[in-house]
Amino acid sequence: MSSVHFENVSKHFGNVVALADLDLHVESGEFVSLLGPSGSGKSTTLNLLAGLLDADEGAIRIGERVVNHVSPDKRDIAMVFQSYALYPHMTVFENIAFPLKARRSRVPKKEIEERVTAVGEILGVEALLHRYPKELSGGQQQRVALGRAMVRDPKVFLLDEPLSNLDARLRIRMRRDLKALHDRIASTIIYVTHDQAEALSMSTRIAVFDRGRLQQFGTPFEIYNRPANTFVANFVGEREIVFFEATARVDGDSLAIETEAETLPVAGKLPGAQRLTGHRATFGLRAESLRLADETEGTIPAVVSEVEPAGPDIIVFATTAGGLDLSCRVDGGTAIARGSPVRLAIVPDRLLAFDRETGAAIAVHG
Amino acid sequence: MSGAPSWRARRRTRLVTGAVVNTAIILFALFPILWGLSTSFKPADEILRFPPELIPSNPTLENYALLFRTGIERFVLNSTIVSVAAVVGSLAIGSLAAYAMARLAFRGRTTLMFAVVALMSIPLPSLLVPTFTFLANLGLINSRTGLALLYTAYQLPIVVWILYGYFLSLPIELENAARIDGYSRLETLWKIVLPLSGPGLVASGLFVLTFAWNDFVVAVVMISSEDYKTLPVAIYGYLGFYGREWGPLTASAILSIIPVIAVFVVFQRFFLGGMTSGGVKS
Ligand SMILES: Nc1ncnc2c1ncn2[C@@H]1O[C@H](COP(=O)(O)OP(=O)(O)OP(=O)(O)O)[C@@H](O)[C@H]1O
Ligand SMILES: [Mg+2]
Repeated sequence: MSSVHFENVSKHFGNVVALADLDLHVESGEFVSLLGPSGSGKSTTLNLLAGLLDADEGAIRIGERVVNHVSPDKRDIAMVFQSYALYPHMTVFENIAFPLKARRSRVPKKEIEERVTAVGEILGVEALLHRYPKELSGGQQQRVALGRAMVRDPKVFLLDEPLSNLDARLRIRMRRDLKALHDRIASTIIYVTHDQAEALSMSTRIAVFDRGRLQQFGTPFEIYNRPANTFVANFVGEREIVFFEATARVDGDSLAIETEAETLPVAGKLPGAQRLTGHRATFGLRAESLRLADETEGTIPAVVSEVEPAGPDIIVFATTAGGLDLSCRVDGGTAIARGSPVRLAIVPDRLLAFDRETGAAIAVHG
Repeated sequence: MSGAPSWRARRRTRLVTGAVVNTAIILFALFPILWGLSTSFKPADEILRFPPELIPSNPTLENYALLFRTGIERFVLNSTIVSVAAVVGSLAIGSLAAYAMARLAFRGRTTLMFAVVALMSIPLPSLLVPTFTFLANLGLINSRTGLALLYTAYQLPIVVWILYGYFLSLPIELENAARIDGYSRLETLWKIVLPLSGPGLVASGLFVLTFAWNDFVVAVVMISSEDYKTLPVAIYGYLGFYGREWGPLTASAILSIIPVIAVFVVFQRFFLGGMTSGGVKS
């Protein structure tokens, strides 16, 4: 296993900037997800690292070795493709054994047999080894594709949306299996996804991309709770975040948010509130940023407009006196009806604030 | 109330008409061959008898026996050697060229592609004189090697064109996967691309085969020695040598058709697609 470094790497396709000035340093043994909407440059990043594309500018390193001009077969990486890319004319066994039979790897025949069988058992495809890819279900094909990568001992694993075609259940199981695999072999994994739940649940760190630019590189906690800008804040989170522009009224380390129509108190202390002084800010509130409160002091009166069951929780949509539509996640056992008045409290730790011009986060949490 | 039966009757009429028309077309197309087949089994004195009969009343193998007495196997062997060499040569060179054009970005690729298409449209007779001089300079005139090389050269553009189109239709992820699995480009071509290109290889191979096997013009110009004559040239010999030898002539023509038909029958399953199904999810 190895570390992976992108140093000021750019890639253009004609006029399209697929990747702009990427600086990304992945440490050895990390599980890093590349997260972003369609066309944001995730696959481009992966293909550059695999050697399937050539960078226009910048250096790409695997460990200490600059690989810009090293062909894919000499980079010692394993990759699982978005489309699986199983060799249709080979059995499952031959597919998994294929990397071991390459001239470079020189694995003895007996060992090939052992390793393929072992991988087949781990992935639960040991009974299918003699079948051809077209005789497998989507989930089985996907596991064979994983097996072909696992059977090697590469410097880096690259996975391009490997779970995107599985049903929801299998997907969640495979997520756990992948994480377990990473824990066991402790190899460097770079994982492309546009499913934030996958990224948040498996990664040691997440790189969020938008339109070819790296927006933020951080732990799942940081990405979710301390998004670097409005794009990241909006992109992660199960539901849309509520953004509104307002002026901050700072008093020591406590804060009130003044919109044109009303003043929203923030119940509790915000250590970095001072940084808002003089800023015209955009505030962001997720469903988790609010809670239902009993007290009247420091809370916001609102009227319930909609109640939406969401698995174990319910999401309460409520409109404030000033006409701001907020949502709040509460326990599924809460009895609440449309039209009833409630009081909402802003959870200080979950309040997000951004510069109105640049969209960059303001560190209100200290 | 009589709607359904009349609909069925009409359907039957249509099927019957279709069958009759198809049979007529097939008979029309195959008649010369059937007639040749029939003639090849007739004794010499019955061939031109009137009224002609399609099923010979006194069938004989004499015409075929004569062919083998006069050593036709030598010409069959010559034709086989030259055709197989041309097929192998044009597929080997053609697949490398086609792969390069399909997958490698290099300067002049478009120009080269146009050149290939342009080459296909040059009529063969106009090439006879220059290629004859060329072969003579190489000292390859009147040799099977020279003939095989010429067939390869004549047929290379069409082979490149067919394989180029076929390679483009293969999912590129398979090749990328093989590269990452540790295989060089050439190994990837050999282990992944070619095994999945069965239909393209068979189609272009049959092109070369039928051309090389049936060619008369090039062979008659390039080969003068009896030892290296190919089958079509030898067959032509029966037209003039002992006067009109219809029996041996038709027998040799039938003999020359059989291998081509056999090859087509063996390889026809490759024309049914689906070789790459299950490889990449769509
Ligand atoms: N071969 C190519 N030719 C031209 N443009 C390309 C090519 N490959 C990618 N692009 C462009 O580069 C940009 C980034 O593409 P990329 O495939 O990296 O996106 P992605 O983040 O992987 O998206 P997705 O989630 O849809 O897979 C897109 O605008 C895309 O249209
Ligand atoms: Mg992609």
